[in-house]
Amino acid sequence: MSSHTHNAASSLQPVPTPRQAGRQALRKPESSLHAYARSFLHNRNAMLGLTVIVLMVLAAVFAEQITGYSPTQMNPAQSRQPPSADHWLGTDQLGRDVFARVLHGARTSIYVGVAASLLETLLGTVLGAIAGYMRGPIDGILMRISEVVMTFPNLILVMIFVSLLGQGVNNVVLVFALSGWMTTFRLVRSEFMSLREETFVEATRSFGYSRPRIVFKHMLPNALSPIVVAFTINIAHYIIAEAGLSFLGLGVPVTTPTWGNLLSAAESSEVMKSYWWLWVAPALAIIIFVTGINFVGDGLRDVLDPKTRRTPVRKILRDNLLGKRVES
Amino acid sequence: MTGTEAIASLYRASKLTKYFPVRRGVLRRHVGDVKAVDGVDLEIGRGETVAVLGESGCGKTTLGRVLARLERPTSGVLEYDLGQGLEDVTRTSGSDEFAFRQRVQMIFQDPYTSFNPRQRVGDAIAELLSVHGMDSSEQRADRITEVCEMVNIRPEYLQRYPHEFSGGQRQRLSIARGLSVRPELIVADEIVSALDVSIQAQVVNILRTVQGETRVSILFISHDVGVAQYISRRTMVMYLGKVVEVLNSATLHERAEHPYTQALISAVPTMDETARRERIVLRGDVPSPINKPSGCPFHTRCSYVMEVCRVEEPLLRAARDADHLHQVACHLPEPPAMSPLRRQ
Repeated sequence: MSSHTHNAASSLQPVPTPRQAGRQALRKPESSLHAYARSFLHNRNAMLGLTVIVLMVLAAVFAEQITGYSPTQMNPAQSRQPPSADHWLGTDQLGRDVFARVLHGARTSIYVGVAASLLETLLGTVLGAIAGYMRGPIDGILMRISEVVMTFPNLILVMIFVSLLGQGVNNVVLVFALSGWMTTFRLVRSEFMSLREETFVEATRSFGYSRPRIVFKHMLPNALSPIVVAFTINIAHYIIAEAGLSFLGLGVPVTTPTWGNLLSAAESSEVMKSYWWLWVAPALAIIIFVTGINFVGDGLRDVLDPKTRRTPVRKILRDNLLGKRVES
Repeated sequence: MTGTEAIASLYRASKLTKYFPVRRGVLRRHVGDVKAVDGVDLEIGRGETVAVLGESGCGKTTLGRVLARLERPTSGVLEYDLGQGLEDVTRTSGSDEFAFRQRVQMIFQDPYTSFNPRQRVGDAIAELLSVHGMDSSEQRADRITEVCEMVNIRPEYLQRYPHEFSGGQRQRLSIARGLSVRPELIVADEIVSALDVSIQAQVVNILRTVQGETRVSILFISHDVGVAQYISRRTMVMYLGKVVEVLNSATLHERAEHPYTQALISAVPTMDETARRERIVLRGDVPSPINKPSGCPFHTRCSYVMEVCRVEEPLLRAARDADHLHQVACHLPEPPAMSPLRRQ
């Protein structure tokens, strides 16, 4: 009887030996990147934001096919036409199709935002990691440099750089990175300084791990979520900054359509009142794209840091409508 | 230090000091030192368990960190047996340092922060093994399973993240991680003080069993007289960065000669009415480790203080009893009698 029940039990559930169980557990059923991707896909807000961004990027890439107009093709006879079936978002004073200009503008604006944020994050992260881990004189020198850069009003600094480097899309990217790296630098530096004192980092030193292994394998992943969140939110920030700079005529040369250059059409109150489609279209494009970016940024934070609470949609909308302080 | 005959010496520290400079003002002027460890001699034999006992701030944690080479000593010499007898490892680097880092494993006080929160615990142990030369992943998995069995962690749990474990489990995993590379010495810094009493017993028992099986040496740093006595062969009592008494753990209660050790022992609560002693209540606070009292560091609170205690610092010497392990740093010609057991 007893042997019978034993057989039944073992045929139902073969019990692995501890050795098998150990090998099984260490076989990595799923890489952590995989797990992050999976939980990102299940985050509704993040997916919404990502969808919006992807759609806008696709629209920018296939701008010619979608609109059927060239952004530079002028038609004085069709000047300042309101939206119609021919021109979905109307035409500007030179008779150019606004929809085509918004989509082509998206190319430059998104490129500037992503490139500037990427360069800035890279610069800030590398310098911040060095300063935070090494401390001492290196940290002192980098801190003083960042303080000097920060004492200049940002706009003046940007104008100085622009006058030194000249206008141009890539110069704008460079100017933004050079004038904005301090916030990421300080963020990463303080993360590294506190991580350095964590017991697990101390443990890696007691294990004799190499410095690159400690910094990049153990410290950086633990500092990554604020960096990634700052990176995405900075994309939004630089898109807006580009718009502002171009509005002042200091950004991308006016011959290239960008959202900022399009917006500068609203400089006159006549345009503001009578030709609303000229500025509403690029403004809406900026708002939608920036909101999408922020959704993705918040979703990333939820995914990357399992300990933080999910951001309610309410809060994301409020932050985007009332403006979010990037530096905090 | 005597008392380790018949046991091969593994690690020896001589005249070890660790001062932390105190700086004040805009110019960061050096105004003094926190003398956390102030001239400690210590020897650990192979397979020996030594407890370091003392209250908060006595320098026992700093001593452990210096011995694990997480801090550089201000002065003194560290000698470790890396295969050819004791050799100086105070400032060693490169391959000798790497060998030392495998042979000496530190286990930290706080089990909640001693694992990388983004790394599965199994991977954390596997990484240590692979850095220290175990290349085959199957071998690593088998070794990890082995050490997990030693500390009663189910191998299935290895793919979890640290935050999914309780404090006791994490401390056992820390022990498993340290053990995985077959160390010769484990520096256990207050490893049970963050845990519940019932879990403390579990962790200490595991460490004791492991010690019996692997003959690893253990430096057990603790403020708990009972735990220190239970796990160790020798107990070193520290006060203000100095060793005031070294005793055989088995006879710690009966043979303690230093007034400070006696006070520590009398403070241990006991359920056994017949073993209850009169509490010795120390007056005043521990003096600042920046401005230490002259002479004997304990003279400001000692009830047997003599004139010589204020002037001359007592050195560790053999105690009055016959126990060759027993040393004490006290000027008293006769050890004060422990208060008699209180009979009901």
